[in-house]
Amino acid sequence: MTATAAPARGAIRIRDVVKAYPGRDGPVLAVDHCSFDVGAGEICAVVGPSGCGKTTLLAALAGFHGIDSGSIHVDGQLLCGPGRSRAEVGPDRVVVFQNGALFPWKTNLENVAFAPIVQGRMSRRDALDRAASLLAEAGLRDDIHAYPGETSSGARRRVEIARALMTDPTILLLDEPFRALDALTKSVMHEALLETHARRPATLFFITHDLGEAVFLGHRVVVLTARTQALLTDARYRALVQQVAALVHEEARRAFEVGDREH
Amino acid sequence: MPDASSPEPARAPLGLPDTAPEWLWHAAAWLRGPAPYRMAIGYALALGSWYLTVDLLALPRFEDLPGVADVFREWTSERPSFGLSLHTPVYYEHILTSLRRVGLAFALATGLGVPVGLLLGASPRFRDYVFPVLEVLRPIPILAWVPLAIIIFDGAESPVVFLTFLASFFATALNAQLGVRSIEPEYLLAARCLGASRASVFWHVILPGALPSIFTGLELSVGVAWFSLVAAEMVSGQFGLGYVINTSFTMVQYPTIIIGMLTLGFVGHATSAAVRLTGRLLMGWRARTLRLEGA
Amino acid sequence: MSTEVTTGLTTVVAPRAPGRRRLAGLRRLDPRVRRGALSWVALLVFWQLGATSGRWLAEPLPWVGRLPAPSDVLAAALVLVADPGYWHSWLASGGRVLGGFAAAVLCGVPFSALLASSARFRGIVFPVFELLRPVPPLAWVPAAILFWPTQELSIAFVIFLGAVYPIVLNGLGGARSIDPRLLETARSLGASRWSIFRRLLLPAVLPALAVGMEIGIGITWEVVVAAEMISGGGAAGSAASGGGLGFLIWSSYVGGSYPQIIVGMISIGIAGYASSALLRRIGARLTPWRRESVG
Repeated sequence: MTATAAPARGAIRIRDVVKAYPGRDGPVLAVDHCSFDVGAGEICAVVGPSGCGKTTLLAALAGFHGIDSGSIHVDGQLLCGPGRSRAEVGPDRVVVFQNGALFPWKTNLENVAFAPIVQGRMSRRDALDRAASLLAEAGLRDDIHAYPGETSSGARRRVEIARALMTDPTILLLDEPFRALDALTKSVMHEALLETHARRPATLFFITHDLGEAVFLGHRVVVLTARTQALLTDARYRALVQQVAALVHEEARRAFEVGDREH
Repeated sequence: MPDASSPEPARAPLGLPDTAPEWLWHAAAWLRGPAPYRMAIGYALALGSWYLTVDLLALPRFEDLPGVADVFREWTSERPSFGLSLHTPVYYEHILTSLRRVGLAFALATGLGVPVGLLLGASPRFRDYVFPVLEVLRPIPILAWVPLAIIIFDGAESPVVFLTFLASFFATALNAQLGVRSIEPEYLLAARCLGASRASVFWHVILPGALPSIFTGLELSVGVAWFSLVAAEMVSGQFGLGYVINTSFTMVQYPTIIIGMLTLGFVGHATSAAVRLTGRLLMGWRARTLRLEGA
Repeated sequence: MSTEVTTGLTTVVAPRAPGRRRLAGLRRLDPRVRRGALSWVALLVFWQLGATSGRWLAEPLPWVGRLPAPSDVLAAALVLVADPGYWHSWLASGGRVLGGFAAAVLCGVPFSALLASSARFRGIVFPVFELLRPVPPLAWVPAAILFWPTQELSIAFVIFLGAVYPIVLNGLGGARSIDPRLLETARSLGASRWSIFRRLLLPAVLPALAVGMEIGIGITWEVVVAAEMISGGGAAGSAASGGGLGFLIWSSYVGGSYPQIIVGMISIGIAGYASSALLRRIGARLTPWRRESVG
């Protein structure tokens, strides 16, 4: 693991958060007094069945909507809570969306260079150069000048993650990013994500419905459900999951080496 | 179902070298399919039934109509009896006059309609002020504006161009607005996450994202422009294809009516195709994406 | 690696209903409505001042200065509303719209179904259909008059031509957008052809058809107004064929009573809007599954 000179940041404190949505038959409580912490630079996986409020939490962190009560702090600063029910959307908390939000009308390179250019941090030329080296680093050299529509789904996810990391955000919010991928590609993505995180340790707030993925990737796994899941604390389960994941990953690596890329 | 395993369709069976350009391959494939023959049958049937009912059998209702032979002869003759054919310069003057009017009106409508439409979609405040006015004016048929246009504007050209502009403007603005509102919200959210200001979001996301809808609107707008132009020319104009059709009728020069109509068909198609082609050039990314999905 | 487990509940709680807030807010107009009203007030004031500018300025303002003033328009409206002839015009126009549009729907829907279901039929007929599409319906007026015995029939025919294109094209588009997997699923489950038509094709095509019909009715009104104006104007024969709102506008212009023109325009706008709204209602009834889904 490369040591970073900068102090670890991105510690999240979620306390007593409540969020209800207006529904057809009255309001629906999406998040009910949820509290947990995420350490700075950690990978936190949030698991749960559909409709259990995990996306709501992510959206609140991103500032896409507010919370009804409770508070969220990042590195000790109030993000949203009493006095400010909705966080500001900002480049310190970037979201990677479930169905992908790479701009289809820009090439992968232009997509990745987007953030520093619009924030005025870099000139266009510098941003493009930097983006190119980032993509090459991630093994995506062939896709640099392609449009997202011409790129394979696995590569698209990696481009989107690269785009999100260009300006070193404090927190990276991932909304079921690998949901639409097949098991082999997923496995390669997991490796890629861990590698990326090792290079740039932002806090990863990671939503998934895949328990195995959550356990494999997460330093911390948060389960949102109506019943306690005793299973996850069982060491044998965790060992089994990691064993299976390693086997699948071997297969994936072999498949990719044969050059069987699916478009 | 698109075949995921081979993105490049095989070219060898068509007898073309691998280096042949894309469009040639598409043309060759089309020629080999049933499409061209069915199309030929369709045209033959249409012309044939026209010939049959008018020239040959002279059926009761049909006998007053100009026949295929008359029209064809008139259109291609060097000395047309009614003064209008492919060989007469006045024919092209009429075409150019109509084209000029449509072009001007279309340019004005696009120049005004696209920004207005984009703002209608992107700024709720702008929409609150402007949309109620547009929505009340829109249901009024364009041709109902004719007398008012003649009253307001001097001369014979301005009312015609104004009416054409009006029709195009509504089509363009509405489609641009639709384009903005049909942009997936994730793109907007992603842009803001990445630190884009409102202006940046507009230039980098809203404008390119709405462009496909804008071009659909522009194609529609061209069609609507021809519609209004012809009507306006028929009612109050000098020169132009609508005028040709109208005067041919009053002066009992029936074959020229058909010539005018068919010319309108061709020119209309040409202008729509021009808009479509421009769209394809500006939105290269679309062509490449769609192709991959096996379209 | 530590594993922390947290639980949360997903129960439904009954708290303040968001709906309550709106009742209290009715006192003050929604700011969005206020802005729209403001725009209209500003427009009317500008119009009134501009139209009467001849009286209190050395020279009347260009364009606006030539318009009849809103006050005069209001006066003319009050007079017209009391005149039974005015309401006869509504009936005349409405009848034409209904007749032509009904013909377009009755012919267009089955035609579009045929085009969608048979590739052979489509290959033969569609190219000719497409070729004639850019010819504006009004360009057909002289040919229609030559062919049909009465003026009413020729107007109905031209309306039919104008309205049939959006209906057919939209129906076709809707049919071709059906996911082929749905068709295969239905067939593999043993559905009969009729069953597939009724339960799969029809519901998929209806929304697109509804949109096509909305477009078609707009075109219908355009054509009716134009035809009524032209028949009053001169080209299509001198005998005034039963008035109508378009004829009202034209004769007001010719007769010099300009405020009446605007009353006529507004009337047609209302009529057009009402018919579109009616179609939208019917469309929504026929396609209840398209109601906005919650969340």
